[in-house]
Amino acid sequence: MIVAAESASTSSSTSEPEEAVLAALRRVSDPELDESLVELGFVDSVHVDRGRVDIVLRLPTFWCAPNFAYLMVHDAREEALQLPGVNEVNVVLKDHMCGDEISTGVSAGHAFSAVFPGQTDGDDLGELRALFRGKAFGMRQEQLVRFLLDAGLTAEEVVGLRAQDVLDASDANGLRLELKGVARLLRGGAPLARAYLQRRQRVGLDTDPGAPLVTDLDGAPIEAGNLEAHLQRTRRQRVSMTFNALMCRGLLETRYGLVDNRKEG
Amino acid sequence: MYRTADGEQVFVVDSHIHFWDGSPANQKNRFAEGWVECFYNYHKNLSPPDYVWPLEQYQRYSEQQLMKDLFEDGYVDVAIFQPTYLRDFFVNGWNTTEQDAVLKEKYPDKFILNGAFDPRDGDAGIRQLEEDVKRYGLKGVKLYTAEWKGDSKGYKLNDPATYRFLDKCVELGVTNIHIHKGPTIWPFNRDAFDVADIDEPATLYRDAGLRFIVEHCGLPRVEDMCWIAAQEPNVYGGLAVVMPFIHASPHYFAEVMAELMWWMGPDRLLWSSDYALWSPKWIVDKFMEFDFPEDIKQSRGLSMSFDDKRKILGLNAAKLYDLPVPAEAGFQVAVPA
Repeated sequence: MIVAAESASTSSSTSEPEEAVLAALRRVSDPELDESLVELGFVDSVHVDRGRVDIVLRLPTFWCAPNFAYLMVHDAREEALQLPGVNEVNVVLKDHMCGDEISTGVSAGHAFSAVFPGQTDGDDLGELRALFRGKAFGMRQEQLVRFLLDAGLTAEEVVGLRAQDVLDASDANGLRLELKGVARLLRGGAPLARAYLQRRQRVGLDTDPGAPLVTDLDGAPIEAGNLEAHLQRTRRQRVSMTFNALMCRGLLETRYGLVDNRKEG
Repeated sequence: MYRTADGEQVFVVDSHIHFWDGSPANQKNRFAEGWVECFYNYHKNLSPPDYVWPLEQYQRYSEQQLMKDLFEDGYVDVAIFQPTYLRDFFVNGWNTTEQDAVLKEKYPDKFILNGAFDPRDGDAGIRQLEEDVKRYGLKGVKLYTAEWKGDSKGYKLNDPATYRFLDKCVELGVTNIHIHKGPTIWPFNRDAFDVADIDEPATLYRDAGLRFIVEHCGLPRVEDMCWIAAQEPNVYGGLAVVMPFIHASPHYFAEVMAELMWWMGPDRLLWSSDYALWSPKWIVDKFMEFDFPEDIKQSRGLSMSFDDKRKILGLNAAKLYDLPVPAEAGFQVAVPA
């Protein structure tokens, strides 16, 4: 059993199957914050007994919105079910206003609207998920574009980049980029590019390698003269999401008495 | 009144305070317990260590404590009560107009008393609002759109039922509409913190003189709040919950303030402590010392002047509530209507 997974994940008592579950949970993110459940400290414990996996999740407050909580519990279960040898997954959400409804509803494979009858409206949680994938796209794009501008690219060069000009975003030495026919290595840029490309793919904008890299959410290119105004909008999303993540981490630490390593100086 | 080292005075209006009862005797159910626990964690997480109270004190604090923290230690000249009823969770409500009125009657010059309405109360609610305005002379209301009421888990500001109440506010001269957005707003499957329902009433009631003060600046949807406020001149930002980050995470605080100053400017931001979530003294001290860090100053061309601080700490709220401001405390700073 792993307790408080983020701090315990490196401990020697962690078994291999449990490590595999944690690795799977790293692929699940809080849609509102666009960070992984493991990094956020939302994984309370993981227990593997042969083919059965028990996961306990915890959130920063009793009141965290049930819809986002449902998506996280649902996604955690789906990811764990993908693991070889796993045939049963139970995810419990503890200390939450709707913890029981969500835990049993997800395990039974029920739709959100069926778990909260009369409390939902139209589309299940698809629209909500899409809305926040769009915000995450904006946030990650702003981080990458600011990096490129700081690295010396002009606005014209940034908006002129095509998807295929990202030669390699997995190199530990930096981001490999083709700029006007010349390969460049931009140190420190690879994680930002990876994060952006993944969110770009998730909103369905990775179909054409010749398409512009930096676009609005509909895939429309940005004109160089409009890049700054565009960034003002996406920066708003980035500031909001990073601030929310900060608030959530702090509340989680206080709620569960975790070590506070968040405060700046 | 806050006084700077060189003797300048700053008029301080704490635009969002409470005198709540979260004691176990007043808690109806586990939702009440969860409510108090959540509030207490906000308090513990973001207060400097010297200002953290024991839980019992936090659940129910005394009148003496409140008067000392606000007016003796906290520089506050006038404080605005923002009620939050929550009768489904608390026997006598969490913090009602009636509870606050006791202190208002005792110290009439120290407090502004705001009321509340709930569009789901229908005709009875309209009558109650009329009575409350007559009895207390209300100029503002605080709305909590996420309040539970029986099977209903909330309402929208742009519901026709709400417009009936806003019409009544216009008629009665209640011009300051404070809105708290919180989780679990109906319907469950939509974004629980969506601030989009403020846009339409802000447009519809602009000419009638209503001002919409979005408490907590729409956190955690500050990006949407900025966007709406940039287009609606009668939308204001209440800085409750944003302010205490000035201590815990100064750089993030500066980034959020930069967005608010960029999209709304210094004339539409209202400071508050959200007492007893936090205590005003340390927040005012830190804010008077605050300046944007160099990177934000340079990349955004933003500044936070002494007059900007005066507006945010008191003059903007004084304007909304027609409060007399002592001449030496900066009445000459022009605050647009």
